[in-house]
Amino acid sequence: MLKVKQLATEQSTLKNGATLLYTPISTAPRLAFSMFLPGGNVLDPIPGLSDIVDRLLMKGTATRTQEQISIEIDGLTLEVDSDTKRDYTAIHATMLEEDLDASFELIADFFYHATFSEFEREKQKIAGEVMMDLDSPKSRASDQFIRRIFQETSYGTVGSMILDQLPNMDSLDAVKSYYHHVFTPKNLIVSVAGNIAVEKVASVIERYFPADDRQAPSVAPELESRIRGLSIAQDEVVTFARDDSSQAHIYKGWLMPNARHEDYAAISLFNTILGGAGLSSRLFLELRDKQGLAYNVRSTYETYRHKGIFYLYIGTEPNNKEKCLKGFIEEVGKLIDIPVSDEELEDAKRNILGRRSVFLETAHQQANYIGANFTLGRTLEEIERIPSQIEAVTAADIQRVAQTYLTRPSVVSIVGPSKIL
Amino acid sequence: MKEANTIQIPYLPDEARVVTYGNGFTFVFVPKKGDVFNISTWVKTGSLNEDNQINGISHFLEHLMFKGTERFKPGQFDKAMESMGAVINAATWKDFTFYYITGPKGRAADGHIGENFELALDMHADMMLGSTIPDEEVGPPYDPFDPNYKGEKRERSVVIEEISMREDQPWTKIYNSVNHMMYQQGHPYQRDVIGTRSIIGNVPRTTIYDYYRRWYSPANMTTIVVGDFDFNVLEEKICRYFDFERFNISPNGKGESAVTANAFRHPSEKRYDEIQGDYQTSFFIMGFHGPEPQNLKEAIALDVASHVLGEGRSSRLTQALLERPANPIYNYVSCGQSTFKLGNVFFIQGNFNPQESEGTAKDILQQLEHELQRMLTTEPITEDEFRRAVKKLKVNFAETSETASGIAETIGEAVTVVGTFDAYLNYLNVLNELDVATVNAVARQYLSLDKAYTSVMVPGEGATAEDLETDGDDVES
Repeated sequence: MLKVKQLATEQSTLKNGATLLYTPISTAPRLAFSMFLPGGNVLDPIPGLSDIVDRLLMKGTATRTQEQISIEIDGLTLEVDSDTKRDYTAIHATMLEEDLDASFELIADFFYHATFSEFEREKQKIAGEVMMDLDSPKSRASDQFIRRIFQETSYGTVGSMILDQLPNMDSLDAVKSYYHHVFTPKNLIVSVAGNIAVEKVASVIERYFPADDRQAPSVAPELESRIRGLSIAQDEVVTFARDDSSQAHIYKGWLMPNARHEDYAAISLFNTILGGAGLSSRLFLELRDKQGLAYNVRSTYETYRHKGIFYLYIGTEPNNKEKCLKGFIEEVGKLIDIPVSDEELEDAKRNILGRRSVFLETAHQQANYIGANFTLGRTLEEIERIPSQIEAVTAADIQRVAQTYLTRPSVVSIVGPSKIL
Repeated sequence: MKEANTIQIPYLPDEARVVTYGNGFTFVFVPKKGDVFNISTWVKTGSLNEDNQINGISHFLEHLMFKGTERFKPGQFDKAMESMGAVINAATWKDFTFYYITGPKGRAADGHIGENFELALDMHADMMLGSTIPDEEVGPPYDPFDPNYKGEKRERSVVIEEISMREDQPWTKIYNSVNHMMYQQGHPYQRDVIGTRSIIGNVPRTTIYDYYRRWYSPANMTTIVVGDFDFNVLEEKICRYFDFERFNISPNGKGESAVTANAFRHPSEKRYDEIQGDYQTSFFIMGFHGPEPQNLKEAIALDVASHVLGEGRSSRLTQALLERPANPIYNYVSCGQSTFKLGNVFFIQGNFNPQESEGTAKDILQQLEHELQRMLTTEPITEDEFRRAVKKLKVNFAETSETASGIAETIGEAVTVVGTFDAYLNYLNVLNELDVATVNAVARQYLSLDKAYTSVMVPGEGATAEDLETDGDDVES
């Protein structure tokens, strides 16, 4: 059994109904808060609506203009941003303790009193930013991959969908309704890490986010089961022509079960072995080192509250497209047909467990990791148990999950010169 | 024989140690509590030391350094490090090449340094001093433009794919364009660090190996360890593993590059260039030559000005171009200073949506120039803006002290590029002594519009990879 650092997180429910996840770190110079509001794209009546809400939070409140908010943030040690994902909107804030009160006075102001007066302008800005992002062929390939694998549901909200939906987002009422339902103390999960007493954090959160009558929103059961039931009926290929592209950018992926599923650990391990570890993974050794087909080749496993995805990526000389797709099939085939060796399995376990220390070095990383996992439905005990679950996986488990999930139909997304599409 | 000093690193409780050995090799130890260690070695070479025949060789060598030593076969280092959960990589830029390992310390008995760390240090040192660069890993030379080439493709091809990848990144493309414009013909900074397909496809293995032996000399190398270790135990290990004599590496190596800033003039006139790409939006970078990196007062004053101009939420450009207009044309804008041995560079970069305006790219950029001009003339930086910027710079500085890799990179860049620890150790002192008048004077000195080099990539027909390469050859010949 490898020694894995245990988390020192304590969970409590505050008087306002919010959940507090407190991780003391005596050496951290700054306090790190990751505040999660379950909701996010899954609740969007129009894909991208919650993204607009989160972008507008700091663009004006009943008592502060956008410019005043900006000046105030820049005058504190506070760094604050917000983002929206499939399952939540999150506000991340770091500050020195001397600015704790001033920071939360400001955060509470936009938590309760955002006016959304910049709605039209922000729509135009998000359109511009999405277009800028999609000017990168790799981003375009990723965008159409996610969009297709989630079959146009709001769970797969990506830039191009937001662009398509912006003309339909003409109601400020829908924006305000999302805000009203999601931004409530009972829906708030505050994950904090740093050198501060738990009582002090609790009192700040209770003071600035007083209890009210609103209940936390929930995902409708039929929507939840629809997302959980998503499947790819047959292999699909989506393409986008970019004739000035120097490479073909290829994604190939499969739908996976959600974060709490029992196969999580085994899938994490085959991801590490296939292309998640870095320079020593199978895809890297075969397609990059031996065949020289790419600079960037890797695999990624992402899990969400209701679903997960596993995908491979390669950027290659356009004429190598077929060779790369064949290479993908061969490497995935090996996982399905041949049990991984004991040595490879042990290396992969040590890789996953060792990297946890590296990626949980700062207070902000810890606050975010714990809060995000909790928001995806894991209890603190389950978060603690992840290392021992990884430990327990056998070669037979890996082969079984590879056979279960990687024999299903996949989605391939390619962006490159039209002659190869 | 050796010279040892202690230095106080800002925001860290314990003093750091600096040891310079008789052969010129420098070792820095920064004690930091926690489960993570970082080992890095910074080499004072990069595309600065290349010419048109070997452009890209510094970066190609960096790839080949991972291809084994007498003791470890290719791939063994990657596998050993990644199976302990360490993150390994390297980077090459104009003035430096560096290699790093960030890993979990793991368990260690009292007085011992820990198995994980010792293996990492051993393999890292062996790679830095004794890479063999095997012929079969380099791969046979080939013509990268020959579609019928069916022979073996090894690391040459990986780097050529990296060149292609970078061409598909709009920001990299526009950076290369403005960078090219900012330096006169023959200036070592004018070339792209990554080189050209023709050179990478053909450069002989012996040329690469000779370059390695020439520039990876003890006096050109600084190794930095950050982590929770006992200095005496650690220093003994450093001496054991960084044993240059065992590899017959002479202390009288080439030493630092002879290239100096004085040897070159910059083009003196304002320049503007447009290139076309298959894009929907327009990307631009505006570059200005900045102060010498050793001039901390001016360099840090320019950091403050940069914050006021375009880094913070309340910055001038963010407010004027993104937040205030009823119909924003700009999608993104930011700015910042890059540190270079032969003179810092200040960049303003952004993206706009030409469909939202009747005007030309030049017309649109005038809005930005107008804001900059205001800051330099009628509405200089105020005391309030100055105070906010100084506070944010201090917070940013503290943030880099939160990670082992952040500390190592800041020290590595200071020592390798600026040439002195002062750039790091004195940063906060210099910042505290600045006043708004100095910041305004420095902004006026360096950011004047008649010294701007602007490159814009506008929607249009994109060039193919082969066209780009031909352009490159023209320039270099």
